[in-house]
Formats: sequence, structure tokens, C-alpha cells
Amino acid sequence: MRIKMIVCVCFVLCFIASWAIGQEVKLGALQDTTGATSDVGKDEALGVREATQYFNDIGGINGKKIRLFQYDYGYRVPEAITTYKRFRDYDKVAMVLGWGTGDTEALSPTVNADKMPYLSSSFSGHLCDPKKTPYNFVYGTDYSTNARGAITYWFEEVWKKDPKWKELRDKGAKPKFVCFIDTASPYATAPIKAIKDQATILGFDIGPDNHVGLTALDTKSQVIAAKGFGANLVWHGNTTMSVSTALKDAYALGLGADHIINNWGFDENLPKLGGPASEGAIGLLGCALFIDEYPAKKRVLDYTKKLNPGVPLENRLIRTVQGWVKVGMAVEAMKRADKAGQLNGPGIKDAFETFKDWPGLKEYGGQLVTLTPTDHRYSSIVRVARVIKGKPQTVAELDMRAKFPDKWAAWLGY
Amino acid sequence: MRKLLLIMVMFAFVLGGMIACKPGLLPTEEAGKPKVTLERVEITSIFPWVDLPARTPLGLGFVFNVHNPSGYNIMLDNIKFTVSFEAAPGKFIEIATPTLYDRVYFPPNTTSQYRVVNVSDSAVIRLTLLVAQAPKVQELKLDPAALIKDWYTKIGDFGFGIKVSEGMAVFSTEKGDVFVPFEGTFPKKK
Repeated sequence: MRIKMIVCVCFVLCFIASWAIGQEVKLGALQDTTGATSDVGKDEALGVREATQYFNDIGGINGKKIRLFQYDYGYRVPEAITTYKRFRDYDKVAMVLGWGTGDTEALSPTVNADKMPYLSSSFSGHLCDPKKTPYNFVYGTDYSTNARGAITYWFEEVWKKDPKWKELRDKGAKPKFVCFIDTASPYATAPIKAIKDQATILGFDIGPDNHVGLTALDTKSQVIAAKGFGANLVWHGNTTMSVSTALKDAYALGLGADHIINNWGFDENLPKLGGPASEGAIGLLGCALFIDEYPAKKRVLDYTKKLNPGVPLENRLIRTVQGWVKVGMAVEAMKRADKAGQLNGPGIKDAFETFKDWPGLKEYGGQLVTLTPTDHRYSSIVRVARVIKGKPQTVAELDMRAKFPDKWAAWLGY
Repeated sequence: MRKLLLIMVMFAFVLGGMIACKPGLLPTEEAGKPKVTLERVEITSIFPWVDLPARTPLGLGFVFNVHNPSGYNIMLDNIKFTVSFEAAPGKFIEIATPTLYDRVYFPPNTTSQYRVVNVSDSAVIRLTLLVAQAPKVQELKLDPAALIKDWYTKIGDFGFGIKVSEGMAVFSTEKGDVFVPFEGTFPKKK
């Protein structure tokens, strides 16, 4: 009888062990490696893949292996929607890592109806109000807060202090401001209402928007229009490639304005592509640059070499690190949900909403993360950088909640 | 009854031991690691050229030899690589990065073939040339539209090189995951 018991226990233990080993958590990822934002998307995709492998190597989700399904949708909204349906219906993923603003916002009603946690590379402020989009999350300071921070930084640190603008300041002139954006791109247009609101708060004179396509190779007519208006400051809301084109044209045509750039247009490639035209340009950073020193750098480098040895290190960008930030945040939420026995859509959403000053992203140069059931803004800290001697360097961190305490609540979902 | 059970348990242990002690190289050691090589590129579908911005689809098949020198079954878990077309002699421009998650087993001591089909079109390629690959296009002083048309004209005879680079195949084995980088060019240089 005793032997029978031992044999039975052995079988049960073997079964449990094989079940535990075989368990996996599926994670879907939409990437743009061939489309209009592939100048930044390809590198982010590499980072996502490398980070997932790292987290698998250190135990996955409390012992469950992460199985990543990563697909290029070429920045085409219909393809994103179709791929999402495959994630939901066939791959049965626990959550989705999204990419663009257009597809994330187009999918938002669906993911919220499906109760599918969706962590996106679009930091659109519209995705941060849980009353409207409870299952959408972002892994960087939202575009609207960032844009407000950039224009505020320029106003306080450049317009008020730089000798370049002394004459106009002394005359009591209002700074003149224009936007260079792809007016058909939800990404580029997402923070425009917020930055114009902030420009109004700060007393700027706002000129007409200039359409610059995400694939623009020539922006001379837009620069001439901005020059005609007498712009002192230009907001660039596109990605690196077209931003560098606009900077070069502005330099060549002697626009004379300063430049502030959204986070997907500002990286290690900007000085490479823009040359001297990019010197002094102000941009926003979500985390450490690939070339920076940061606590997790060795890990990031090790996995670039392990998984993508064929990609030259000098071609890697901050986007790789952003991929790590994205996966790191998703893994933490899934671990918490799993610990609570709720590794499902509502469980992962609830887990995200328990983040309170979570320091996990600091080692990648990210911010402390606080998310609540009523506010999905990742942080109120805006990290501002400038191209100095051909290299983007952090120059300030602005806490927009502390700076504008009476307005912060009203800016939710802006 | 008790004796019979004891014999059965011992037999199970012996059998388990025999299975665990398979002969042959381990897939995790250098000599036993799988190797992935590009055998050839095939055109799986092509359509008459229509000037841009209209889309002309292009399907390419990449046939890889997957050699498993180990004494163990290995499972391909995922594979990704970057496809580049030759834009000027010896100068390649990246076109796409196919990634697949097929679970396919390769038996011990065999060489099998695995085909990856990538479907693209002239408008997608143009976008890649205008954005991600724009610095290279500008450096080589090329006109993206003319370059794509030239590729479509010549591809039937493989009149330019097609390169596979940044390749990484991840195999799952009972001894752990194995990462296999690979690259290759077609037509192969004579």
C-alpha cells in the first residue's frame, strides 16, 4: 500500500512539474519596422525582443515563460486592427504592446470592450484618462505634458535668459510660435491643442500650422512660411527623419528660430542626420539614450549582442532602451497580477493601477511610475535635453504637476 | 503485488535513465549547435509593374537549410532576419524584417529545409526608402522610385544581390534555448 502511495505521489509531482514548466504567458507586440515611423520603430522592436528574452532568462512571470508575438504592421491602421484580432482570438495573449497613436486610438474602443490591457508607444494624452480608456496605458510622460514642459522650459530658460532674444525681450515682444507637424498624423497632432494652450498661458503669439509629412524630404516652403510669420520657436511633432529635414532647411534658409522636438523626433540620429543644423535643438527624452551611462546598461548591451549580434552597436538608439522600459513595465504588471492569482485583462489593469512611485524604470533612465484607477498619466516629470556639441544631453527635469498644481487635474486626457 | 510494483518503479527509473543519456552532441555545445544557412531566394509572386504611388506586390521565398548536428530533437521557436537589396555594387539597402513564430521540430543529425515567405509591395518599399533607409539612399544619391522600378525589372533574373542579415533563429531544446545568428547572400558569389 505504501509503495502504491509513493508511486502515485511521484506521478502527481511529475505532472505538476511538467505543467508548471509548460506554462507560458503570451504577449502580443505591434511594431513598425517598414512604415512611416520605421526610423524609430525598428530599433524599438529590437529592444522589445531583447528585453523579453532577458526577463525570460531571469524567470519570466513568476516562473512562467513569456511567449512574444511581434509583428510589423507597417504603420497601417487596418493591419494593426487585423493583427490585434489575431492576438485576441488565436494567440490569446494576456496583453498587447502597441505602437502608433493612430492605431492605438482606433483600437481603444475595442481593447476596452475586450478588457485587453494595452501598453502603447503612443504617449497620447488622450489615452491617459481611465474614465474613457481604462485599459490603455503608456510608458512615458504623455505627449501633452511633454509638449507643455518643452515650451515652458524654452520660455523660462531660453527666451528670458538667452542674449539671442534680448533685443526682442527689451522691446516687450511676444515670442512667436509655430508647429511643424504632419497634420494627417494622429501622433503628430495629439499634443497640438495642449501646446497651443500652454503657449497661450505663457503669452505667445501663435502662427498657422505648417504641414510636414512624416516622409518629407523637402520643407523649404514650410520654412519660408514660418520665416514670413517671424517665428522665434518651432515645435516639431514628427519623427527623427522628417525633423532632421526641417532643421536642415531652417538652417539653410536662415530661419533663426529655436526648435523644440517631441520625443520620437529626438535621438542619437538627429545630430547625425541634421549635422550643425541640429546644434542647440531642444528635445524630450523618455529614458536614457543608448549611448548614455545608466544602471542597466550592461544588461542592455549583453542582450543586444546575444540576440542581434548582426546589428552594429553604433546604429542602436534610445529606442532600444525604450523597448526595455516598455517590456519592464508590462512584466511588472503581469507579475503583480499573477501573484494576485489574476493573470487576465482586469487583473493586469488592476495591477498597473497599484504602481505607486514604482522605481523599476529608474535603471533605464525612466521615471518613478504612479498609476491610479483615475489617472493613467505615467509621470508629471518632463525630461528636457539639448543637442550640445553634436550629442543630445539632458539639461533639465520639470515637474509639471508641481509647477502648475491648479491646472494638473484639468490636463488629464488633454 | 508489492514486488511487482517495485519492479515496475525500478524499470521506470532505468528507462528514464536511458532516455536521459541520449548519445550524440548536445545542442547547447558549440559543435552540436544548429546551423542556419540561406540556400536560395525564390520569387513566390510577382505582378506587372505599375508606377508609384500604385502598389505592385512582390512575394519572396527564403529557403534556409537548418542543420541539426546534435543527438537531440530541436524546436525552432522563432526566426527573424532583415532582407536587403543591392542598390549599388556592394551597397545594400534594408527592405523588410520578417519575423515568424512557427514551432517546427528538426530531428537529430539531419539537414532540413525551411521556407519563409515575405510579401511586400512597391509602396511599402518606397516608404522604407524614404524613412528608415533615407540616410543610405541620400548617401548613394539614388532616386527611390527609379531604384524600386529597377529592382522590379531585374528581380526575375536575380540581377542584383539579395542579402539576409541580422538573422537570429531561436531553438528550444530539452537542454535549454539556443540562439543561432545567420546571414547570407543570393545569388551566391561565384
